[in-house]
Order: sequence, then C-alpha cells, then structure tokens
Amino acid sequence: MSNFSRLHPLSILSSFFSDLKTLFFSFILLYIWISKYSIRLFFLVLIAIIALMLIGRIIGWFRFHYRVLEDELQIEEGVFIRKKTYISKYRIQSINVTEGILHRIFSLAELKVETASNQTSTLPAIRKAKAAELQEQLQTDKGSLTEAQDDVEENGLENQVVNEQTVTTKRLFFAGMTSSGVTVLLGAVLFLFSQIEEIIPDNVYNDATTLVLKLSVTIIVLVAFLALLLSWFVSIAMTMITNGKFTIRKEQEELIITRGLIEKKRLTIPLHRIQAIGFKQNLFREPFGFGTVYAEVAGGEIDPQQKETAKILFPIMKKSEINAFLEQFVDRYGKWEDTFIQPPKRALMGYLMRVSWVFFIGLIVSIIFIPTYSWIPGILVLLSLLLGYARYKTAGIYMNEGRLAIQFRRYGKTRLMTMHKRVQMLERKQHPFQRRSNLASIRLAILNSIGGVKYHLKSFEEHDVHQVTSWYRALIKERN
Amino acid sequence: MREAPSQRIAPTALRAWRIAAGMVNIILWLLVITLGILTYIYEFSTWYVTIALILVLVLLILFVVVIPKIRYRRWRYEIFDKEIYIQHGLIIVTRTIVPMTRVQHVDTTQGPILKRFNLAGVQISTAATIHTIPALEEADAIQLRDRISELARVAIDDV
Repeated sequence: MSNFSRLHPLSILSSFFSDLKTLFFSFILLYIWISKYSIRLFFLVLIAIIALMLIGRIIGWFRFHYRVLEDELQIEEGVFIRKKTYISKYRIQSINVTEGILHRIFSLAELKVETASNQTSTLPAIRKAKAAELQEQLQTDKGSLTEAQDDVEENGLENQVVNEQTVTTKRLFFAGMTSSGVTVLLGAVLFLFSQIEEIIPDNVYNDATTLVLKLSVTIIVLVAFLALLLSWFVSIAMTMITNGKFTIRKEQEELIITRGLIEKKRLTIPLHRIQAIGFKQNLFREPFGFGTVYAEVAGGEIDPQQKETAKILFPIMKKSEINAFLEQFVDRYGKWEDTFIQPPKRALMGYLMRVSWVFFIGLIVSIIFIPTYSWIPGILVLLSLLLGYARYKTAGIYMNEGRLAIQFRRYGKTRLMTMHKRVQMLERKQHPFQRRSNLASIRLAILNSIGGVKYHLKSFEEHDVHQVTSWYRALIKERN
Repeated sequence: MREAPSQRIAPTALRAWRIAAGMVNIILWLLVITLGILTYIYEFSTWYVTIALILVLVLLILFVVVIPKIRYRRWRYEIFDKEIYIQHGLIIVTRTIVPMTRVQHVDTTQGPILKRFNLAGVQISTAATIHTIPALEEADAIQLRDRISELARVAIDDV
C-alpha cells in the first residue's frame, strides 16, 4: 500500500496517559510546593499543564503518518519539527507488539521496531489486525541472514515442534518474594514517609510526634518492620502482575516471550542476535538454587524504565533445570558445566582487600575518633571480608571449543555463557602486585542492547590467563 | 600474550605529551602565584601556599617528567592479518586483542597539540568498544588506518 495511514485515535489517549504516568511524581512534588501558598493556584497550574499536554498529543496524532513501501517502514511525525524515518526491513532487529489495558479493550496494539543502531520507532496504537499485517510485511526471510550460513550446527530440517514453557504461579510467587526489587521499593517507601511530613497539617503532626515519642523503642521498630513488610508485599504483587503468565516460545529461529497480567507485553528475540546467556542468582535466591535466565541481545532500544539491559528469558528457574531449558530454546550455548578455572589461593588476599579496604580505613578512623561506636565499621569490615571471600570462591572461567563461560559475583552470583565469536575483545590486565605473584586479570567485552558491556575477572593464575588468551587467538586464526 | 607487541608510537609523542602537560601545569603555577599574592595581601596562613606549592611541584614532576616517559615506553601495538594487539597502561599493564572481524570502522583523530607535531591518533571501533593508538606520525597513522580498514573489510562480519 502506498498511501499513508494514521494511528488509531486512541493513541492520543494512550500517549496522554503515559505522559501523566511519567509526570505523576512531579505533580506530587508540584502539589507539595504550591499548596503551601494556595491550593487553587495548584489546580489552575495542573489544569493548564494537562490541557497543554492533551492539545499537544492531539496535534501530534494529526501529524503522524506511517506506511510500508518497498521493504521499508516509513514514518513521518512531529508537530514543530518534522521527522521522517525510513527503516529498511533488513535493518530491523526485533519487532515488539504490546497490548496495554486500554489497547485490550479496543483490540488495539502497540508496535515497536528496533534496529541495530539502537534506534526505535513506535506506533503507539494501531488496530491489532494491522499490527499483525505490519509484522508480516516487515519480517525478513530467515534464509537471507549470513549468520545462518556460518553456523555449523544448523540442521536442514525446519523445526516443526513448537517449544513452549510457562512459569507456574507458585514459582512466580517465590520470584516475587525473593526479588531484589524489594530494596528499591523500600527506599521509595522510606522516601515517601519522609515527605509525608510536608503533607500532614502541623497540629496533627505535632500531636502525632508527642504520641510517638512517648512510645517505647519497640513500637518504632515495629513501624519500621511494617514499612519493610509493606514494601515486600507490594514488590511481590508487582512481580506477579508484570510477569504473570510468563511464557517463552521458540518458533523457527526466534524466541517469543509474552508476559503480564494487566499490561501484556510481547517480545521477539531473533536467536542470532543473542550475544550471551546468563543465569543470575541474587542473594535471596541463591541458597535455594534458583535464579533468572536472561539473554544479552544486540541492538534494541534504550528503555529508560528498565534498569536491566538484558532480556529475561525466564524469570525464575532452578539451576538443575537449566540444561533442559537451554537445550530446548538456545541449544548452541552448550551445557551447564561445573569445572571452572578458578583463581589460585594467593589471589584470595587481593579479593579480600579489594572490598574491605574502605571499611578498614573507616574502622581505623572510628577507633581514633569515636571508639565507642567502632563496632559499626567493625561489622562492616567483617561483612566485606565475607563478600570478598564469596567473590573469590565464585570467580571462574570455562572454555570448550567455541564456547566460553564466566562466573562472577557482585553480590549475587552470575554465570554468563557466550561464544568466541561474540567476544568483541579480550584483555589481559596486570598491576604491579599481581606481577609479583604471577597473577593477571582478564577483561572481555560483549555486545548488549546499549552498546557494549565489559566483564572483569580478577587475579587468576598467569598461566591460566595465558591459556584463555591463546584460546582466543587460536580461534581467531581458525575461523577465517 | 607472553611477549609485548613490537611497534612503538612516534618518538615525538613524548615531547607532545610533555608540552601538553606543561601547559596545564603553567595554569596551576599561575593559580599558586595568585594564591601567594593573596596570602601576602590578606595575610592568610602561609600553610596554604606551601601546601599548594608542594602539590603543584609534585604534579609537575609526575605529569611532565615521569608519566610521559613511562607511557611512551609502555605503549605498544602490532597489526596482524587477523587481529590487532595493543599494550598500554601506566600502573596496570593492559594487553588487548581485537579480532579483525570485530572491527567496525577505523578513524584518525587529531587535536591541536598533536597537529602541531604532525601526529595523529588511530581510533579502532568494534561494536562494543573503542581502542585508540594515541600518537603516530601523521603519515603512519593514515597508513595504519587504511591497512586496518582493508583487513577488516576482508574479514567476514557476522554480528
């Protein structure tokens, strides 16, 4: 079709609502600021801002055109500044179709197109049928990818069996309970508590304060505990809602992931764009042997809402189940091995010192100046030593032909499995202390959705590091 | 990676770095002198000026005398058919291997100081990283860039 189409008018509302969502917090701050002077002024300002936003969105909708012409998605948009985007379907890395609550009511969908240069184009609301039509028009034949020719393991048969896996509610609840998002939420809750002071009228605040001060410490501790419990419950609920019915499906050379109870999100990951597969176990999940399976995917948008750049392949899984999962969905990444090259004993000191030196200084300073409270930095020193030791025990590298796996710990344990050809560069680093003890560190870079990410493995046996670099160089020569 | 790469960067780089550091240092000296004048006029404690003086002196020795020399000695590179091998680093010695197949593009860079000395840097970009060979003779830099460009083109690219 060579004529331009407009978005569904509902996109005005959906972008308007998402604007409101983003500005919600600022509105609260605005309220806190202006309501001191006059509540009426606040409402006036609020209405003015909202009206401007709405008008802006209406005009924006009016000026938004798109079409598919000769293997290209063409988009023209913009109120003041006209932006014309032409995306060849061969440059498209992935196509995401999302359905929010509003979309679902009217059978609409949001279509997002991502390219290798981190460029994302969005059609906020189009008819679901239209979205499916566009998806078909913009998909390239799998056979035209040069990647497929390079792959030794490719079998000629088309994969007729549909592989699919959905997360169980019980597991999802566990994921919610052990989610590390709790800490972020707790911070938000505490921040909110601190701001409440501004909102509550003075006399109520004074009465409440005198009341609280009369109560014993135990009550205060109880309140803090309740705050913690509250944020925990909210975090569980959020996990279950955003990841409800998480399903991963393998179709031909793509992984299709759908999740979400209220806002359904759908993500398509072409297998050949995957740079590495990771298994991350945070501190809560590790003792139970559970973790999250994710993939580092090349290309894709920089989503400001997502703090993680990796795409989650499965929210929660037991370590023992990974092999089956990998074989079913991403078989080229090999098996889960446990024979890793690890740092030698004399590297332990380095690991301990790296984490704890800050706290040691704190300890010394507090012993000098505030001796009675030095038990605080003392505990911190002990905890940091524990962390250093845990990091030392976890660190590891494993190589087998074209596959490379690394394991490391920040706080939780992460294992990353990748392939030689995905490693953009490899570095050997050595500082003077390491040189004396015949140790060296390795750093490697792989692509991810925001450009690149580097992984640093510290203080391995110099000889082992040489083994890794030789492996890397040998395979470079071999592959050409 | 037992031996270091064989090529060194341009010998004039040493002078260029020294002069660049020297210029920054002159600004610091001016600040110290200003501080000295103020101390005299307003009778500040002389401690401040002495500490500032010592600090700037140390920085002078470090950045103008010592560091450029170490940097020059440390910086090495070597271009093979299938890979680029680079060594650099003052305290932490880093040796980097970049496969030719990963090289996306190569640029030359030249700031005003490098330009004065007819030097240029070669910037090698992969999809995830950028590596810069700091100061080569301008002609060498261009030649290197062309050579890497050609080798990278020949190599198959398959991200």
